[in-house]
Formats: sequence, structure tokens, C-alpha cells
Amino acid sequence: MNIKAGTKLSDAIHNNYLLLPILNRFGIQLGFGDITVEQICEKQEVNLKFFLEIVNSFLDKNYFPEAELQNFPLKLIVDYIKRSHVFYLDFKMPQIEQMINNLYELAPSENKKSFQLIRNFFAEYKKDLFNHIEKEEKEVHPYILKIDQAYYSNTITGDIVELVNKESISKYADDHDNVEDKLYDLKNLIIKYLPPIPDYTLSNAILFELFRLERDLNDHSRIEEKVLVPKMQAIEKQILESNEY
Amino acid sequence: MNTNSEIVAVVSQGLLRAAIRHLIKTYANNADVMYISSLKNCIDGKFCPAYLILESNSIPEPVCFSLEKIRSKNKHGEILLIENNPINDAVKSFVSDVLYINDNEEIIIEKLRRFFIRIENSHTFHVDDTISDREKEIVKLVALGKTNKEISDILFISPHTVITHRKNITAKLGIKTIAGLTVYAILNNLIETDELSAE
Ligand SMILES: [Fe+2]
Ligand SMILES: [Fe+2]
Repeated sequence: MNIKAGTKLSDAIHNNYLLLPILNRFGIQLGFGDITVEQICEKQEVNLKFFLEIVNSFLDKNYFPEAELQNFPLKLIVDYIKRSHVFYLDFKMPQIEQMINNLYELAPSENKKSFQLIRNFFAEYKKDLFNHIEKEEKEVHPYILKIDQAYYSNTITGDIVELVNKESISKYADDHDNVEDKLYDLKNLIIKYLPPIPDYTLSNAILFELFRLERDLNDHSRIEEKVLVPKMQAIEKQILESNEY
Repeated sequence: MNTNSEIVAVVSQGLLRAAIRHLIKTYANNADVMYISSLKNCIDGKFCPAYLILESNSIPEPVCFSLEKIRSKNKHGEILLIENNPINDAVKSFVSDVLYINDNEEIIIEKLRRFFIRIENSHTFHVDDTISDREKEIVKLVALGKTNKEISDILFISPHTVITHRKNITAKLGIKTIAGLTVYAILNNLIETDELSAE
């Protein structure tokens, strides 16, 4: 299903409930009745076209309109990315961590060691993800917004040019590490190698969360790498070229 | 109470008890049998006997759930179910064998013999053998923090071969990261946790 301006929001969710966290990121809360996508975007002051591209590319792996997405203002893209970060760090990670702790508590004593390994693994992953996001929030986003502001207000000073030369988004792109790999491993460790626990519904619930998080992160990284980075590269290029004269 | 008895039986009928005692005397080197009246301690994981003999009506319902609990607490134990009626496959999958009351004497004896033999061979832990010995060696070295270069020096193989092995390992195990391989190595007893901290 392709979500359009006239699609009822509730239909969109019935079609694929994985959209729910995406809606939250746009500040949309449940209880919206029969409202359409267009109406809710107007109400929440959300850019309709941006909303549609984000939602449809999330739903369909093969649909990724890079050029269209790159046309949106950087501020809008960065904002969406930041909201996803909040979702990961403030909601998903604590929630999954709690579940993994419960898993450990339920594990029979002879297997506790194995489950402790999983706990440690997750703790390490959490640290990795935190560092990854912290770098983006503290270094990369401020740089992007600063350059963006200068570029569109046509106030490119020598400082800005120097900053572009020094920072350059390609540096970020080059060592933008893959935060999904460890999640993938965690899933397989639980699926294939961890001894079972009596409450299999808990293991299932953890796996559901991990699969969803992985999908979300894949989509997220794709936006960072295929939208944010090329758009910034284009802007940087223009700044440097115009400065040559 | 001795909770380490090799053989625990949850059997209420006197006749059955006597029969089991006699059979064990003959077919399990006169081993000690502990009779208990309820399965609760096995379900809770307090008793993890190597052999558990139980009457089907001693299992709290839902039967599969109880059996799965026992199994999860006592992975290497063998379970022999004594049953009056044909049972479904789901239940069968949790137990080592089923002894039917109506089975003739020969069959009963044969099943018991097999039941007690099984444990002798099954004390080895499950080792995942989907990866080759060479690959296991490499997993071990990766988990110990060795680089591809170091591994190639240690095993006298080219760095290119190390990379090929690592690709195959990732494909077979479904694990991509060093941290993940380390957990795998410990879970499968390829390395000890203290080896790790020594590095
Ligand atoms: Fe990010
Ligand atoms: Fe990222």
C-alpha cells in the first residue's frame, strides 16, 4: 500500500503497524479518529511531502526517492533523525535492556552464565549506539546546521569556508560505523546459541523488538548516508567553488 | 533428602514401583532410585536427575508446558514416560521414550535397557559442529582479540586464507562482529572466560 495525502491515517496503520513509532516521531499521537494524512500534517504542522516520502520509503525497501528526499531542507531531515535518536535511546534501549534483565532472572541457575554474556553483550551494544549517536548529535548535526544556515542566508564567511575544509561531511560518511551488525549478532545468539528458557514468550518478545529495531535503524542509516551526506556534499562543494573566485 | 539421585521416579502405584525397582536392579546395575510423590521439584529445577521416570498422570497440566519446564532445567537428563494410552507427538518430543502399560514384557525390557544405555553416551555436551575444526580455531583466536595478521602468523596460513575463513564463519554462524564471536566461543566452550581477561 502506498500512503497518499488522502489516505486515512488509521488505514495506514492497519496496513502496517510498524508505522506507529514513525508517526510518534512526527508528534502524531493516537486517538486521531478518521483524519487523513493531509489533515493530520496540517494540524501538526508537518511537511506533508516529507512525511509521505519518509513513511513510504520506510514501508517499501525498494522505494527510496533519494533525489526527492534531498530536496527537503536539512533542518527538516536532521530534526527527523534527532527524533529517531530519542526513540532509540530513551525508549527502545531501556525497554529491551529491561527485558534482557528479566531473561537473566528467569534463566535456570546452571545457565545464568550464558545469559550474563548476553547481558554484557547488550550493555556493550548500548554503549556503542550511545557513542555513535552522541557523535552525530554533538559534532555532526551542529556542523550541518551551521553550514546550512550560512549557505541559505548567503553569509559564507572565511570561517565557514575553513570549517568546511576542516570538517567535511565525507569524514563522517567514511567512518559512519554500522550499528546494525551487533544487533544482527544478538538476534542470532538468542535464536541459535542461547539455551532456551521456560518462558519462551519473553525470548520471542525480545526478538520481536530486536527485529523491529534493526529495521528501524537500517532505514535510519539509509537516510543519514543517502540523503543527509550527499545533500551536504553538494552544499559543501558549492561553498568551496564559489569561494575560488 | 538426597537430591542428587541418578534416578528419580514419580510413580504412585505400588505394583509399578515394585516392578521398576526390580527392573532397575537388573538393568541399571542396582542403582539407587528415589521415589517422589510430586513432580513439582523437577519442574522448579530443584531436582535434576539423570534419569526421570514418570507416570503420565503425575504431570500437571498443561502437560507440554510442564515437560518443557523440566527439560529446560535439566537439559541432559533422560525422561521415561509410563503411559496407558497412546500419546500425541508433542508430548513425545519432550521425552526420551514412552513405556506403555500394555507393551509386552520383551518390549518393556528392551526399552528400559535402551533408556539406561543412552545416558552413558550422552554425557558429552552439545558442540555445534557446523563449523570445521580449523574454523573453530580461528573463532577462538578472533575471540581472544587476535588480528587477521596475527592469526595468519600463528596458524601459518596466508592473511587471505584467514579472511576467507572468517567470511565462511560469519556465513555459517550468522555472527558478524568480534564481540558476537566472543560470546559464541564462550557459549560453545571454545574458550574460557578467564582466558579472555588474561589477554
Ligand atoms: Fe543516527
Ligand atoms: Fe548513524
